[in-house]
Amino acid sequence: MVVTWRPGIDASTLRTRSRIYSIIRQFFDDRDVIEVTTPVLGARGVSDLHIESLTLHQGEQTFFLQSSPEYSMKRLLASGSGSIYQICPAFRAGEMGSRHNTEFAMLEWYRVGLSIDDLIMEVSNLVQSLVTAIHGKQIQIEHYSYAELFIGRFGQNPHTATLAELRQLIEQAGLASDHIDNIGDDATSNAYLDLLFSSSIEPELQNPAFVSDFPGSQAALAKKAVNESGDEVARRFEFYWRGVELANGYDELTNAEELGSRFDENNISRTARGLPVVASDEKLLASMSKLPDCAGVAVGLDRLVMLLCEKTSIDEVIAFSQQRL
Amino acid sequence: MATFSTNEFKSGLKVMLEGDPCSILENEFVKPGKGQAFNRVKMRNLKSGKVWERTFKSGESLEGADVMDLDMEYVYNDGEYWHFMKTDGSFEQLGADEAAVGDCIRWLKEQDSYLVTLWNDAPIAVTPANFVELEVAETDPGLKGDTAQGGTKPATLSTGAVVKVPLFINIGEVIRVDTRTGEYQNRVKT
Repeated sequence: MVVTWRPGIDASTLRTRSRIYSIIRQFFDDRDVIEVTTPVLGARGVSDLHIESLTLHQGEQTFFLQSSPEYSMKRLLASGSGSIYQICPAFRAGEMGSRHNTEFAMLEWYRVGLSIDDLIMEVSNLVQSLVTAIHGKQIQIEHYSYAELFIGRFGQNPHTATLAELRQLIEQAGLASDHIDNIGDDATSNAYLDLLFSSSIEPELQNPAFVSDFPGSQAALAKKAVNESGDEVARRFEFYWRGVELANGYDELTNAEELGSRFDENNISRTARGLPVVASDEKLLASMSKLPDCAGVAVGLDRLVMLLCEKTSIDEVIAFSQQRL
Repeated sequence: MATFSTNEFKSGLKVMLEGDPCSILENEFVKPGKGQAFNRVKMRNLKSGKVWERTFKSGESLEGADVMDLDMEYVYNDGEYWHFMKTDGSFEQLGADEAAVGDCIRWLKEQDSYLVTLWNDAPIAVTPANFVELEVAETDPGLKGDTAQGGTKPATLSTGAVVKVPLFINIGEVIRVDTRTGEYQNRVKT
């Protein structure tokens, strides 16, 4: 238990972090993407199976601290805001480690009329701008599909592998999987896929790399599509560097009915695991009919600062990590 | 005994797992993409000495283990138990069985200090110091020019341990050995 009053971030990193923020703002200014601020305090939580929102109780009311500004920003987009970005705090209960802090900084932006591939290019350009400004060099950025990496590492198509096949891969890789409840549902196979991907593939992604076309069952709020092999995939990408997941982006789902049923599926998975159900955000659902086609991305800004400043712990790039409060 | 949750797991913490006391070596919090958070924990089973890797759901808890490490002096063995004496002035003796002494059996020298791990006050493991000084009980006289084994020959020490030593080492000499690797370090001038 750290008792010092001092911040974890040093003076030099504080300056670099400030510079990073300037560069980001200039980047979006140049592209006519406006900065917005949406409430951190919300009336609804997220039903995502693995995210636990922090809750606040004020008399009879319960509020939820946002796990991301997604729902509010989508309501803005639906009202005709055009492309927007935000740098804000996000909160995820129980997440603490060298790359996690319950409260962390999110850089999230949405581009109306851009395809998911255009957005990948834009994320790439932003990272390049930052690396050039801070380190005076350019980096090579790679791009893979989830299946390509999985097949390359395990010799099995992740989109068609059965639960039994995934369990076998886990055993062969010598991975402990005691934390996974084998309920036999989609969430179980996702847990196996995640374990395999995060243990054996992610750490190998040392060079900056985009991974796209995630398994269809991991679509969250992204559109689904069919890839060239005929498998259902999520129009979702992630960006990794030095084995760290830095960003998560989508070709945003605009269908209210489908979003509603995904929320319902989440709650079914929750109940099956003894977790409380989370009421769906009916205002988000109501706004969906007006949500324009857009691609959006959420970047873990603290982690991006960590990598740009060559730090190994989130405690070194934020003012006061949870242990220092 | 208190219980500890995954976010309290620190290196050195002693916990119970599957009925055995274990010492936590490493605790890594993992949260894949939008997946389930878990802790990947490496721990050493203090009874078997084996290293286990297990994953736990974040927030899961384990019971603490009543484990203590004590500095003790080796006194003697009666064939069944190896007896150690506390060095805190109490002169209290505890007996460790063969399983508890384990590999340390080849480094036991009377009156030398050892780290004895106690679980519920009973010895379950004995660890020697990093270096011990032991007498050579048996070895061939090294002949000059005999480089068949790269200039070393086997020597049996007073404890029964067999160590590779330089050719000039003779019976009766005391040598310093690294217990972690079983390697000869140097000759000790007596």
